[in-house]
Parts: sequence; C-alpha cells; structure tokens
Amino acid sequence: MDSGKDIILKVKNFSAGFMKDGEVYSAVDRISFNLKKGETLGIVGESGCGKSVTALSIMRLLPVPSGKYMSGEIIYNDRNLLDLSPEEMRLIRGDSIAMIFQEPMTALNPVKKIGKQISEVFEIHRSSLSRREMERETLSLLEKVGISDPEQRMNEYPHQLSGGMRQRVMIAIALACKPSILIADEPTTALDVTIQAQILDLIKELQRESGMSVIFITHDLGVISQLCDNVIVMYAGRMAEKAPVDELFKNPLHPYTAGLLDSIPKFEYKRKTRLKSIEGMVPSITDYPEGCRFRNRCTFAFEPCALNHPEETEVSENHRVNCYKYGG
Amino acid sequence: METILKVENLKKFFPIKKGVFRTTAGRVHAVDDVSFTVKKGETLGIVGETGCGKTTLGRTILQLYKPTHGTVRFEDRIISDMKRRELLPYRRNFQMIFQDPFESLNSMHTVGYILEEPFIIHKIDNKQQRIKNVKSLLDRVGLQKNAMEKYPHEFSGGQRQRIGIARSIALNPKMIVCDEPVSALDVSIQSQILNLLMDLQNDLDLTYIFISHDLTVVRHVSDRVAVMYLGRIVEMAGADEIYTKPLHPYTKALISAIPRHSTASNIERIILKGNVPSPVNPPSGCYFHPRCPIAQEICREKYPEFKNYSLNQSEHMTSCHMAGK
Repeated sequence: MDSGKDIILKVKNFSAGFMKDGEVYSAVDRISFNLKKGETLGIVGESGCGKSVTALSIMRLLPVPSGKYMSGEIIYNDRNLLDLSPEEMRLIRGDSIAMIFQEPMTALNPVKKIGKQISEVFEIHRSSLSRREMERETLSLLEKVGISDPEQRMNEYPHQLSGGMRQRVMIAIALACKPSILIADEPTTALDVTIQAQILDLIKELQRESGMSVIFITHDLGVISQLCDNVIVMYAGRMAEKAPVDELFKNPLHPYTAGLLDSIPKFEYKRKTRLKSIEGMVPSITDYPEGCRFRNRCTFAFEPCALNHPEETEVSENHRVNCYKYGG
Repeated sequence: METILKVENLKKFFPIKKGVFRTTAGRVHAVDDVSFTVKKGETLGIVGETGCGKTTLGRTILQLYKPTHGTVRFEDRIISDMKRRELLPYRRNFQMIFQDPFESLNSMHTVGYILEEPFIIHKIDNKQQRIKNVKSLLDRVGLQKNAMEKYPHEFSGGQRQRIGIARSIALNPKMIVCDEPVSALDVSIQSQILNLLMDLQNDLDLTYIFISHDLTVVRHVSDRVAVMYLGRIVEMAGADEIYTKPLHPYTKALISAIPRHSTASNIERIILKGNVPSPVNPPSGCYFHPRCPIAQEICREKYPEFKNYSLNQSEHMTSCHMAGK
C-alpha cells in the first residue's frame, strides 16, 4: 500500500510533544504512515494515545507555545508541512487540508451566523468570488450536507441548531474548498447513535462524490469497521499496529489490539458473563515505562520488551505490527 | 422471583418559567407515564438517546426528584408518598452510581472520608469499625488500602468509578441505579468496571437498573431491556429477545445503527430522518410518528397502547399500532 504516486500525504518518523515545567514530554513518538488518494484511514486508540495530537500536527495546530514538533516530516505535495511559514500553512489549512472537530458547539463561533461562518472560508481562500457567488456556494453546501431550509438556516446561530445539525455545518465549512484531505477528529462521539449513523453516511457519500482522502480519528472500533479502509492502532503515543480493516478485526496481532477487541461486549457473547479485560491502565504521559509502553499490561511481555521500543515488522502484506512477539 | 420495585404511571414534568412573574410557560415532559416492575436480583437495562428521560426516570425512582404523578413502590412501601424524614433512613436500601466520576466525588474530602460518610449519616458503627468497613470496601472494589488518605484527583477515571461503586454498596443496598456508569471511561477500562458490577451483583444479590445509551453494553449486563423515546417506554422485553426480534420501529432503527464489525454484513441499516422532537411539545398521536418509516394515518391521531405481543410465556411489551401486523 506504500507504493505508487497516488500517495497524497506521507508522515515520516514524526514526533511531537508538550512542554511542561521546562521539560518536554513526548505525546507522539516516531510514527510513520502514508495516506493514499481516496483512502479512508482510521486512527484508533484510547485517551492520551496521541491520535488527536497527530491530527492537529498535520494541520500545524498544536497549542502555542507548549506544543513542540520534535522531529520527522509530514510531506504533502512534495513539501514538508513542518517547514512552511505560518502564512504558507494558512493557505493550505481549510483549503486543501480541512478538519472537523469533536464538539461542534465549541468549534463554531457562537456569535456568528451559520452562513457567515461558511462564507468566511471563501473570503480567505476564494477571494475572487463575488458576494453573490459566495452566498450561492454557501447555500449549495448547506443543501449538500443535508440541512433543510438552507435559506433560513443561513441566518441562524449555532445554538439554534441541534448537535447533529451543527456537525453538518462543520462538515460544510470543511468541504467548502473541496479539500483533498479531510481530517475528522471524533466527529460523532458527542452524538446519539441514530444521528451518528446519519453523519457517517454523509461523510461516506461526500467522499464517494469528491474522491477526497479521509483521516478518521476515533476511540470507537465499531465506527472504524464501518467507515475505514485501513486502520492504525495507537497506544501511549506510539503505533501498535497497522492493517486493512477486515484483516485487523479478523487477525489482530498486537496484544493490545487483541485485548481491546476482546474487551468490547458483543452480540455474540453470552449475556452476563465476565468480559475479558486488559489489566491496569494507560500510563500517563509523564511516566511512560522504558521499552515497549504496553509491556506492564501485556500478557506476552518478555525481556526484550523492557529494553527498546519494538520496530515495525511487516507480518503479512500490508499488515505491520510493533511488537517483539513478531520479531520487532 | 419476588418483585422489588413497582413503578406505576410515573410522570415527571419540569415547568419552564418565563417573564418577570416567572409564570409557567410550558412543561418538559421528561418522564411521561411510565410503568414497570423489577424483580429481585435482576438487571433492568434502560436505553435511549439524549433527552429521552432515562436519567430523570432513574432519579425519580430514587426520589431525588418528586414525581409529578404516579407511584413508586419499593418492596412493600410506597416511597413516592413518604415524607423526607421518613424516607432518609430508608434510602440506604437504594443507591446510585453516577456517570461522571470526576464530578460525583467531593474533591475536598479524602477517599477514606467519602466512603465513611454513609456510615456517619446513618449513625452506623463506631469510628474504629467504620475504618474497618472502609478498608474492606476498598478491597471489595479492587483498590489499595492506601487510597484512604488520597483525594479523588489522584485517581484515574476507572479508579474513581471504583470509589463511586464502593460508596454505593457501603450500606448493603438492595437496589442500585447505575446511570451511564462506564460511558466516561476508556474502552479497555469499561470491561473492568462492567466485570466488577456483575461480580458485585452475584456476591451481594443486588438488583440493578442499568441506564445507558450504549446498546451493546446494556445487552451484556441486562436480563430485561426497556427502550425509551421522548419520556415513554416504547418497548420492553428480555434482553436476547429485544435485540433479535425487536418490534418497535424505533428499537429496530436503534439496533441497526450500532456501529459494529460484522463478518455477515447483511444487517440492513435503518437511518432515521430528522431529530428527536422537543419534549415540551411532543407530537400528536404516537410520539415517534414524524420519524417513523412505517407510520400510518392512525399513528398521527392516537398514542398506541403498551401491550404484550409475546408468543410465549415471557413478556414482550411494545406500543406500536403496526406491531404484530
């Protein structure tokens, strides 16, 4: 999956971290992956695993001044995004790479009308358009994301919309400039299941139409299985496993992935029986163990695990894992 | 099995106050005519989406809210009629576990005090014995004894939920309302807490009312499941039955919308149009009819009766004009 020139985004050995009391704590450690044209790549993991930091780093949106891009490259269109000036980055952000966030209430401006917030994108990235054209584009976007009465909704404020509607507005803003990459950071986590189904459906359909690539970040393996082509499993800032979605669910290799899949209640399970679980808890960013960061909770851990972080091993075609059980 | 809880025609409306004179402009129908019974030792799961009234139902059962109408009978006493002073000593029989372990524990107190407080309030045991009790509670929920001197912020979400659980079982209650007990936790921690809850139920013969929006979690821990929509129970049946043979179109849509990995991808997804209407002005007739894919003329006019449609001895209740047709 790594060959050919249809790769649109390349993340190479990328690390990022946060400054706290004069010390830098690594939040994402040497991750690498490629995103192909039209691909939906899922990044899954629990809180603190670095999935959001990865997404924000691609957008160059880590908080200033505590966020630090430490090493590695993020290549888009033959350019390393980490080397761009803030002005150059601003031209890419919202235009060719766009992002939607988890909580649409906090991501939208509460004192600006919906229509205004969408046309703002055109003012920045498509300033040659006339006011009339911008308005027409805004209307057609609202229609496209399934908002009824777009003429009326344009003049409403975010608080007048439901959670699902707000997320649709966020998607409209993200899609305004027909981005080639859409980064979705837990876009349905705050929504109810029936509304979540609507939004996932919408993202799928819009992607089919436009052929854009999507990086979908979530903690919900069910959502991943429904939407994604390939999945990256992250744990404590590092990659654990990378595989096509069906392969990952059928044949999870990393003990963490396997444990995670086993611990989720399933319809096939007998009710009221004990669930398998991963003992212990995710280590905090300030005290990651040496070597493999999962080893303290891992049932397979042996000597090498304490020494070094396992390197990526290709176990079968496209299925890679960072674990000494498979060589490392 | 004997009945431990009987809820009859329970309603809880919240007034909406408007204007200078705070006149009542309308009422939120949070719980709207709900009746059911819970047997001793079973788990009744309650599922529904945001705003369906599941949390209000749980709190009204425990008399944290005074019901607008209807009765709640716990064992042989009608607790919804009891005066505050009469109710207080009785409260030790029914407890609650809250969703957010970050907000439901007092951050100013040590864990030791948080767990000792129920014994102090109910004037049980002397200091020495109370400390012993706290230690055994901590052990019971899988925490170290040194947790006593620590404060809630020193614990992770999963551990905090264990503290919340320890507090709820302190006085040997007979029934616990668990309101989204694992929703705020990470996936790998959820199963630890669910296991703990199931173990405690076995060991202490507890009855649970398990409220959650997560249908897979509810299925796993429940004996029976009730589905709520806009303040009403629209369907109630045995957990296996309701997931394999749902009757109400809302239940069907809810189950089909669960994102899950399935090798057999033959599940037909029903995607509901629109949003949940406001509980201030529920729609006419069946509350679900504006979003229902099979709504008929009668659904707009009359609220369907909550009836048993079971083909065997077990109960399978639903309110839908089209059920069984």
